[in-house]
Amino acid sequence: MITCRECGSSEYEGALFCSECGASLFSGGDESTAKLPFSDTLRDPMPPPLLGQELEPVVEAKQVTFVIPSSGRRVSLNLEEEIHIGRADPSRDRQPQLDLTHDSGAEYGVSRLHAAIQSSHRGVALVDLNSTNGTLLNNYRLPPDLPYPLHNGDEIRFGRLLVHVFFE
Amino acid sequence: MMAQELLHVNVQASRSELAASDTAQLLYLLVEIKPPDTYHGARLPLNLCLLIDHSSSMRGECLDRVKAAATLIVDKMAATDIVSVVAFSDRAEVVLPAGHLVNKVAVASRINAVTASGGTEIYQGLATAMRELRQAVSTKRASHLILLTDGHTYGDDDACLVLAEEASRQGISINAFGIGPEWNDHFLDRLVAPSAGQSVYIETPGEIISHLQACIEGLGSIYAQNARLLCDFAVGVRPRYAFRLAPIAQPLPIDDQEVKLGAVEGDSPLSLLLEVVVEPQLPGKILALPLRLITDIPARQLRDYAVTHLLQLPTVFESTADNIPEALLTAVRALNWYRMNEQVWHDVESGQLDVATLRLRRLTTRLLEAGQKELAQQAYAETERLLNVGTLSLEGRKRLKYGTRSLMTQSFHLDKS
Repeated sequence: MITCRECGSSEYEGALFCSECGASLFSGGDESTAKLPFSDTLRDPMPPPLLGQELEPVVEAKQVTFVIPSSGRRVSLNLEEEIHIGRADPSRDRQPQLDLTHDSGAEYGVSRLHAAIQSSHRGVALVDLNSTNGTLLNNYRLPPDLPYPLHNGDEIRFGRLLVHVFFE
Repeated sequence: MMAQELLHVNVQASRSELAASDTAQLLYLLVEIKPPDTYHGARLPLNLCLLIDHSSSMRGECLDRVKAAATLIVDKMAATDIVSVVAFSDRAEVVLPAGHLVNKVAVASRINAVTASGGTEIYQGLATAMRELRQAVSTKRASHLILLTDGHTYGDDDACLVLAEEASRQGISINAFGIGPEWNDHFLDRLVAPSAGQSVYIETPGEIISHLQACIEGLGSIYAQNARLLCDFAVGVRPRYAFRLAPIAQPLPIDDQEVKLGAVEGDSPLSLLLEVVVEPQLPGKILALPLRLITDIPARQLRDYAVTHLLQLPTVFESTADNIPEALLTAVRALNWYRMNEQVWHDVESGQLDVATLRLRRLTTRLLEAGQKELAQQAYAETERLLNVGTLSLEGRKRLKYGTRSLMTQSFHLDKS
């Protein structure tokens, strides 16, 4: 048997597509992220402050915790210089620190390399990495490749997947 | 391709070799069956019965369109054809007895006089239509029953299915057209299965005429009928699922390694997809997978004409990655969407709403990835409905079922072009 890397389902060897989630199971299969129409319906965002302005420092924060309500999962990570968020990409041997594959990431429109959390002495910022379905911070759509300040308790949507962020 | 005088059988496989494995594995076969290129045969005369539902629910535009379509078809029949028309509700009446058409104007008038009343009992109509058809069953004619209905039959499902088996044995194929959202697609699929006919979804009355015309054109170009594919495979190898891709998408029943295919048209090849399960195998063997096509060819006055295509696959310690034929890949992808959708309904019927919602959301994503926006929107709307109301709509069920089915035929035609 083989295991679907998208949903973990067990499938017959020789199966071409996962019977549970429809993902390609053969080498060279389609690995694009679907462009979801749904996020386009959200209200136009007001721009949040840019990183060029002073960030509110996250005092003593050493760890960030992501809470994913749809799957009930909590993930705690050490605050590194850069935390990548997306879905695992075995064909390119890429594994984001916050892997949303098993939170139905593909179904919610999470790209393989979707966004990053950057941490420096000036504070913590969220950057959309030109994802297919975009990133919303407290319901504001982020333009790609620009860092926006992140605060304790913020609400992020990667595509349509809701994630809450807490600093500890 | 294995060239034969009267039928060509071409097979593409998803693997060129099989890994010796201690677990079962899947193999996909895309089979194409067509007459020789030199064939320009004469039209096979028809023995056709139109079975029209005229129950109360058909009142209005629906019955009007059905009557118009029936009149048009009768008008297009050749002098050599035998035609009958039966109308049914909770009773059946012969509108036009089986016979050659002498006065088409009078026939049109009789069809037009049919009015809507009563309930829906398909068995009554089916039994009467079969009586009409039996009078002219012959190897020199293609015998077909075309059912048009918009509703559920009540309490006579099993009796109908017995009749459908009997029809198949007598060389009569059944094609069923469901109009609107109310009819039972599962039942109509089972009704057409014994004769490998087709069940078709007609969403609005306005589409009735074009669907029926396409069906009649196909019936008029039949080259071979009563076709069966015998999968006389090696021990431990068995066909698990069969689906006709073209000319009309339809799941096909497998009975003891035999797949009923129905008719082979002269103008368009019959293509089917086989999903084969291969049980664990030792390395160093050659697995024989003979596909034996058996069929009647009326123009040649042949019964049980047979042609065999032999596929042989070696079993190896470690198989290398294959270049999977594009046509096969697109067909399997669409088949997978179709089956995911069917599974959603199974999940809903067994009360697993969370599972159904997740599966439907995944299907939406896959359809979006493939650029199938209309179907994806339908799947998304049904997902929302499932979340909010806890059920799915009848229209959605049929749009997704027949929509994903038709993608198999569409993708196949695209690859062929």
